[in-house]
Amino acid sequence: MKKKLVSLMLVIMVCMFSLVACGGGDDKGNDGNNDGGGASNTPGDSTSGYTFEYKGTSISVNTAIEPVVEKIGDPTSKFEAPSCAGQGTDFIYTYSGFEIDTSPAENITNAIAAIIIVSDEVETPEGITIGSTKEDVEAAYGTDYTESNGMMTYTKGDMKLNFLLKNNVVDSVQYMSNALN
Amino acid sequence: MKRRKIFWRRFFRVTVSGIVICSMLFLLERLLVPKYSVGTQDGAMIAEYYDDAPKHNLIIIGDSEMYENISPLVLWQNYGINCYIRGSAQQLIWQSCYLLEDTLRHETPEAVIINITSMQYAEPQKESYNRMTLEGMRWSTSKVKAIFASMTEEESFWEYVFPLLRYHSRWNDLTEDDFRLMFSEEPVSLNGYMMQVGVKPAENVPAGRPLADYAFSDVCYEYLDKITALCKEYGVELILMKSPSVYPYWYDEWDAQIKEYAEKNQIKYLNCVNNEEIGLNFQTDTFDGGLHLNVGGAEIYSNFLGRWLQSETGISDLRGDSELSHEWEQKAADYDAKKSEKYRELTDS
Repeated sequence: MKKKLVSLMLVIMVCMFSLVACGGGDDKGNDGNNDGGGASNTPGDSTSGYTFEYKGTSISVNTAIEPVVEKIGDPTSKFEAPSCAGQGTDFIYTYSGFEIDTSPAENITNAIAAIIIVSDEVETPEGITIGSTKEDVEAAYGTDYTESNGMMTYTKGDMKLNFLLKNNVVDSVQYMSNALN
Repeated sequence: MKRRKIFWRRFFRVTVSGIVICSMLFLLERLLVPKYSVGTQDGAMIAEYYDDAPKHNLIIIGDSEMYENISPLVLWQNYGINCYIRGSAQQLIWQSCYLLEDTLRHETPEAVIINITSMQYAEPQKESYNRMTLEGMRWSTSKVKAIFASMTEEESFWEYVFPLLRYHSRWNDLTEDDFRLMFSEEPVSLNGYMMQVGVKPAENVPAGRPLADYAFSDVCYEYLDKITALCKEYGVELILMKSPSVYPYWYDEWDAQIKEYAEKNQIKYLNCVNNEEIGLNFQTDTFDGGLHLNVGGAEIYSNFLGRWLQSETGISDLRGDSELSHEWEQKAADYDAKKSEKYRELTDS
């Protein structure tokens, strides 16, 4: 009888141990710590996508914003958007002619989620800006793109480069991270 | 006779072993699940609803734009509206739909307000947000449907049924609160309202990023249709609402779609973005730069909402109900105490 009781207790202990022992890494976005769990987004390779350039500095989505700001200087304004329930804070850095949006990522506190060209004060390294035509875009980036609702999308690595057209003319250029949007 | 005795002895042992194992697993689960009444509190309100008497004549369903912006106490004190906010962080439209279904199982209010900010999301966003909405729901077919509609690819239904499977790795993060709150959590809201007292003015608010397609997705309309049908079936007045905020951007194209939907279905739509009638000042009435309102802003907005509900829907004034009045007296005292405590914490920090 005693042996059986001991066996039963051992089984329970093994069950409990197996439950706790397999803990550790947890990448589901809610680590159960009730602190919001942080972000579960894991940006991919940042070097393989299209990059934007400003003041001689290459800026890629899926990379940290801090080294970029160090090189190109402070933005004209910065907007802070804390997400619900402490799930991290998004920032929007506004520069002359473009903005950089950041979101928290798994290993980067403020990862660049998007770069948006909003005026013709700046252009892409390939020479496209607000007011360029669809033909200009095709000449610069080729014809390997998808088009939906007036938006031309070039996919490369873990990002997309979008040209939003209005009457066949570029109205917005958007470098977008796949993982962070 | 001997065989019978052996059978019963074995049966007894197996039963006792089963009970012991189940009890241990139950205790372990209660210990390991996150306690929303401490830390991130935004996941606590969905469960708190069931503790309030189901005598509400107004139910508000939506995300933080609802549970941080509307003070049910103001609605009661100034308009006699007995309201409960079934809110959760980044609540999606299918979750609002199933929360409405769940609510209608308990009571039939005169009116329901649905926050339509969620119409912009056609896909589940994040597991942690899902859990803040779904874990607090009582088990019902509505909860099961809500789970299946909400799960991200990485999630499993069984982890909702047996939360221990999901939270077993919390064992090395346990705190004193996990033991203290194993069986009863402390309420964090007043009728679903989560009070905030800080002030952070709205500054440098960016313009909305141009989108390729402003149309809400079919799946969102499908759930909005279900909400409309449920309200019609139960004779509840449905109001679609966009809460006042300066960010995230609420596009004119989105506004036009909701207006069209409301007209087509003969329901009311109240867009409070840039509505000067409310009297909000986003330099003083917000705690996070214009995304949500602080308690001062929530009280101003709730006064506007109460006036609007009275004039547009003719919702009943329940202040003549002595039982409700008595309950609200206690709630008012709790509200004032919480307000004082929060201001004290703010001053001390």
